[in-house]
Amino acid sequence: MRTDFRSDASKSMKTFPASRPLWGALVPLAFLIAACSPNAPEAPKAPAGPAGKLGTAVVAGRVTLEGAPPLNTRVTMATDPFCNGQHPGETELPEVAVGPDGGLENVLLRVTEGVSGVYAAPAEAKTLDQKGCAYSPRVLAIMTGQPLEIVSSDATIHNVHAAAKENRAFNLGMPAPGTRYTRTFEKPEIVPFRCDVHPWMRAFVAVLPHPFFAVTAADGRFEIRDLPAGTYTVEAWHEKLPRQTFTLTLADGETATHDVAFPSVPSA
Amino acid sequence: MSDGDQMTPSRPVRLATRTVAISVFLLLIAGALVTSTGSGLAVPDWPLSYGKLMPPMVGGILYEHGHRMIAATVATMVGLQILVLGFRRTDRTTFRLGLAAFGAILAQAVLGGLTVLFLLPPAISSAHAGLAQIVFALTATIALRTSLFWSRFTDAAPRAAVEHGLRTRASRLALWAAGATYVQILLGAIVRHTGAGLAIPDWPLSFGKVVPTGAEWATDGVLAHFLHRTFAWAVAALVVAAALALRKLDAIPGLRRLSTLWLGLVALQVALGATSVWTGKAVWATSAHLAVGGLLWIAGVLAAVLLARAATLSPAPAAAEVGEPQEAAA
Ligand code: HEM
Repeated sequence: MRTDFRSDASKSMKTFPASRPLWGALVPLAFLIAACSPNAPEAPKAPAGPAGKLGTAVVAGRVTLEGAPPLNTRVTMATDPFCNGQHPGETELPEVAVGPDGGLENVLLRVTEGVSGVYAAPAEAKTLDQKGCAYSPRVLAIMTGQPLEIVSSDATIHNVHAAAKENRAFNLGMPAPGTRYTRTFEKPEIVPFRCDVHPWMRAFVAVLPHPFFAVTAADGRFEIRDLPAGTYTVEAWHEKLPRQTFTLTLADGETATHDVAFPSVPSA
Repeated sequence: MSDGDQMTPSRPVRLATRTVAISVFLLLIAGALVTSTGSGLAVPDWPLSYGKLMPPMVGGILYEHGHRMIAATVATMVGLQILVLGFRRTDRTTFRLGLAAFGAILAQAVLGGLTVLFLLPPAISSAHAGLAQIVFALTATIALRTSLFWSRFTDAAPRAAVEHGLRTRASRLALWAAGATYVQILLGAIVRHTGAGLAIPDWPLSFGKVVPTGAEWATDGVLAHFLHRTFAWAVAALVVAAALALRKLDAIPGLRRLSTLWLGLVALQVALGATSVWTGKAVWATSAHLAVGGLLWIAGVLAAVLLARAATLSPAPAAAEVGEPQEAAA
């Protein structure tokens, strides 16, 4: 058995010369330990319970930031010539990404109360790319059991470190463009992703047990579709700003509009 | 020939053991930089790095893979040191210390690998930090025992007119100070590896008070951080007491200088701990704090080793042995 990094990413695995006694003893032990590492993908488990229903109601709206945008972190990418070439000089991280008319990007809207039943995960994967030494998208939502495809478009090396708490954490090497991994998460949580080679790189993958969620686009707009009639609590989550919630009751076929305004904070 | 009464080791041996101890110290600094720059997981596999012996040294890989390369070199040096010690017929104790150092550095490599493969679990990362300082203590003791200073000390200590009681007191204090410093190093490792370095944002007060209150205790990391900063005062007090006790033995060569160095290091270490907090964990401050913490620990170890040596060279007077059996045992 081998760690995932080697099994997926490197077809021609080189082995360390085991001629010296030190390495002769250490290398087999190291590979034995490597075989037990948590990087292996978890086998998806089929959820049990009555099937959840889909409906025809929609909640849509726009998320904005009230007040002056906070100061985002500024970094230089000089430690990697490729990243530095993509973003020369100082770069502002899109921690709080506010559009010209106040629309707030990368806000996750998810139903936290009012949904019952078990929803099957879609078979099609969602993709998390590494492009220009940043994750794209920065905030991504998937369902429990839905495949997450992790790819790299960058001509530099990345590692993808998913600091999951409820699910199994992993750390994968992405040594070249075209490297690709598929992972699933079995429990709901917002998993922070980071690259330890380029410590400014951050993404958040929200894993949800149902399909009633959306992430705001650059203009702050969102739309949660296919809700059955009912009363729901919706949470608006942002990586830096305090959470907001609202409750609304929807009839079959209704499209309700609900805007959310986040109060600003001094710095991201 | 009793153990330790070897002839003065030759120049190459002295040079080799000193180089090994200094290399271990440099390895400690390289390790500190890995954590301080947050690069611990920049290379996801081990023992290879991205499936290669030499990945591109960009971003955090420079620190993490650089640390691995330095570690492999230093481990080889510690291994070769055994040959030097065996071939050059140093005393049995020094040779055994050499074996222990090699065993410890191999275990250290495995712990380092485990931290990578299990994504830096605080217990393993802290054990890696703790064992590093044991390797440093073993190699520093070997360097001391093979130095010219050790031979001079062996000649001069029995002739030095020092009171037996003062020597045992200094010896006991040195052991306590070194032990407390090691406990403090482990507490520091827990603070560092659980990410509690800024759990209390101010210093010397904690949240503007002498002791945190109420809900502050429930915040992640506050307990470990508070224990570390508070135990620092106990460490400082023990080091000052031990260093002052050493000064009273200045008839024995080297002890006065060691005492001065020890006092300087403890003051510097507290200042660097405070600076780590004030600068919001600047890389240079936290790395220097780890490195000086190592030197402070080594000062304690060397003081304890020298005092134990002085005790074996000039044992307690017969009257004292009868009158104070427990002291003689200590
Ligand atoms: C005088 C005795 C002290 C010793 C021997 C000591 C030793 C250490 C060591 C060795 C570490 C790093 C552990 C590792 O990862 O290997 C550490 C971490 C730390 N120490 Fe101390 N320390 C002392 C006093 C203090 C004081 C007075 C403070 C002030 C608040 C302090 C604040 C810290 C902090 C914030 C860290 C974590 C740094 C990080 O997260 O990178 N220390 N200490």
